[in-house]
Amino acid sequence: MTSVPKDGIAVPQAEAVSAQRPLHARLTTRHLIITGTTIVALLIPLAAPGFMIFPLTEVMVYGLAILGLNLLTGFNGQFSLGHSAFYGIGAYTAAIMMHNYDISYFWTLPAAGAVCFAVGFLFGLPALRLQNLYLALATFALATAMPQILKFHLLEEWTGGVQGLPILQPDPPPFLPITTDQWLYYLTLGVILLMFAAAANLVRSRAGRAIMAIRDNPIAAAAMGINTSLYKTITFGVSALYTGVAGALSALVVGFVAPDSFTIFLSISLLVGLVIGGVGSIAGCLFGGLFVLYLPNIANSISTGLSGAIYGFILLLVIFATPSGASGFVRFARDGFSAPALDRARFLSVWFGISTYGVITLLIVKGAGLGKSSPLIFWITYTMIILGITGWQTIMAVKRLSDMRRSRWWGILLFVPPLNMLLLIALFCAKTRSHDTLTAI
Amino acid sequence: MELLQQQVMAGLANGAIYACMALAVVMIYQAIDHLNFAQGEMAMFSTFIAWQLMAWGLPYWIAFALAVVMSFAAGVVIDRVLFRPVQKAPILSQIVAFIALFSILNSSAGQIWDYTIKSFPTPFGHTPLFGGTLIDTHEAGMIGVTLVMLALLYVFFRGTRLGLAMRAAAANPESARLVGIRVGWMTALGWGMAAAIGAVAGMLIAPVVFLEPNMMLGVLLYGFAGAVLGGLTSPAGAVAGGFAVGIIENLAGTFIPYFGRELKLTFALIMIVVVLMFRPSGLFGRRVVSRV
Repeated sequence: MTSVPKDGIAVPQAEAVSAQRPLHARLTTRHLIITGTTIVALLIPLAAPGFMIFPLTEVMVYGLAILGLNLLTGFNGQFSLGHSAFYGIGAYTAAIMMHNYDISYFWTLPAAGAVCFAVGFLFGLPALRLQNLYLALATFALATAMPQILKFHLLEEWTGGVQGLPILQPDPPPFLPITTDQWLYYLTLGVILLMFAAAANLVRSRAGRAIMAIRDNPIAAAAMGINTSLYKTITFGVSALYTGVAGALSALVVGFVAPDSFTIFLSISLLVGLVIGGVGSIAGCLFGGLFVLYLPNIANSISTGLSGAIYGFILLLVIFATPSGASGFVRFARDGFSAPALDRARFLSVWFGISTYGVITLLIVKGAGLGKSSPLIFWITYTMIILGITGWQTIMAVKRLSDMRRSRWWGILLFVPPLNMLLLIALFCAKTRSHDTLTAI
Repeated sequence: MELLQQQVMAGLANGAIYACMALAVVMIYQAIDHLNFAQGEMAMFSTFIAWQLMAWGLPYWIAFALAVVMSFAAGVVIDRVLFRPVQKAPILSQIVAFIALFSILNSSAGQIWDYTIKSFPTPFGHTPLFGGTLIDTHEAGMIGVTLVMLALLYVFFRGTRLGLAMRAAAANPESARLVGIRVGWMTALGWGMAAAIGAVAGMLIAPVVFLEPNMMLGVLLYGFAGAVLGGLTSPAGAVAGGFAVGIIENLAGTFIPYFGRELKLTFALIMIVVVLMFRPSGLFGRRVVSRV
């Protein structure tokens, strides 16, 4: 997949060639992972207890909203604190259509997308003149204004004022023997599959390359003939569209909209999810969604009074362990495996990162409440995660041992807890000696 | 006309709060080149420490001085422990680290001192100034202290070697390091000074908004707005921006029919955005010219 030139930087080569090769040769690990995850996602509502379905639906909704923010911030380099406003506009579009005009829920999603695209595009126009912190302030103004506008007394007829609007949740089609929660889950899953695929295609297209070129160097992009103003405003619109559809979905899933659900804190949550998942990564958005939804619950279950402090502490730990988010970490670890020699700094940070993510995954699984309703599945999941963590760590250690020209059998010590610590320290302190064969490349 | 005058005076009184905070915001911007979301919570925590010292029986000014010194030390520690490890990380990750710090400080303060509203004393008293009802002595004192801090900062940055070194470290870390400035410690000093200024701001604001863990939320937002409006590179601009935000907010609330009362925050922010569209680096900020 990637070749390693002398300086150790991996360069993707496969993409350019892949177009000519037959289909079976073009299937990569990436496709396998996507297919596998989709199948698991399709099976979850049938196997998992009912109370777990609602939060998982919300995870997907947040993931979609974070993807919207990612298209703007991660791919186009425009900072936004205003996405809670687009999320709110999407949710209110759906709610007003359903509550005031009795339109079917199915049409609310495209409508919310269209309204948000228009609003985002228009907001993108003044945003053209602003950069970095100034843009942050402008979008921040949008986010603080939104709840107040929704509460505004002249609009109360449509928005329901402070009270908000209730929504009749959609029933599943009569021929399907599933509950409303399960139906909403599948609806959300369908929408996000479609929109994630669209986003993946967008960023790989000519337009996507233009969008990223503007992020990397606006002046060079303009010099190459890219209409930067047009692309920036359209990206703003598309980003708002994604977040708006997520908002409409959230309205359907929660069955209720109120102005105070769409404050600046929602924007901050989306930003946290974006960074934790990985800026500029599409799959990372779902991980961000998972994190944003479950982490406050985890913190709350550890200590009610200090939940904010624990939340902050875990957040700091994750940022220290993986400064460029989950997707950045995966790339970093993969490069570590393919590097000629695993140096000590990279070994330590990958080790630290795997442990941090492992512990957080364990906490999320525990917090999801599976342990109470079906202990067997819970323990199987738990054991698999722990084996996964230790497995990867062992592979790391064995590679490092071989890079140090030690016997790989030393790695067995990892399974004896006190010796594990000593071996770790030894692994960290020792100097790396590259293989002669590899250094010759 | 009298209504206008009244509203401007009331706006000035509010603006003094924002100007105080904006000064701390600019200070940290000078040191680390972007904003610190946890700034308000750091100021809140310092104010609680001063309150605690006074609750233990120390007189106001000793508690005030101790709180400022402790905040300075805490700012340096935060730089070394928290900011150092993420300094090489992408800016968005640093911002999330600040959000984490925000959450930790807010929640710990709530746990230690609980969420009930406490009153905080003022050394200036609350008697009306010049016999009018527009502005009282505390608000006048706050404006005075803000201006004194501004003057001290001006002298520090323009007149001392250390100030010059700090400006050099912020403007061009590479070259500053080459001429022998310890850039890392200059950043730490910037954090310390920002924390100390924040502490002063917190102790001046607390008598007005009352002391509780969430007291700084709104103030910090307006402080940011003021600093950005005035220009993040200019302390005097930030103070002016803070006052301007206070006045704009009040005038929008009074003079815009129908919408004004409910949407005054919205209008204030919209006006700021409009100003920024015409002057993208703030009213008094230097235009940043980048080399291609």
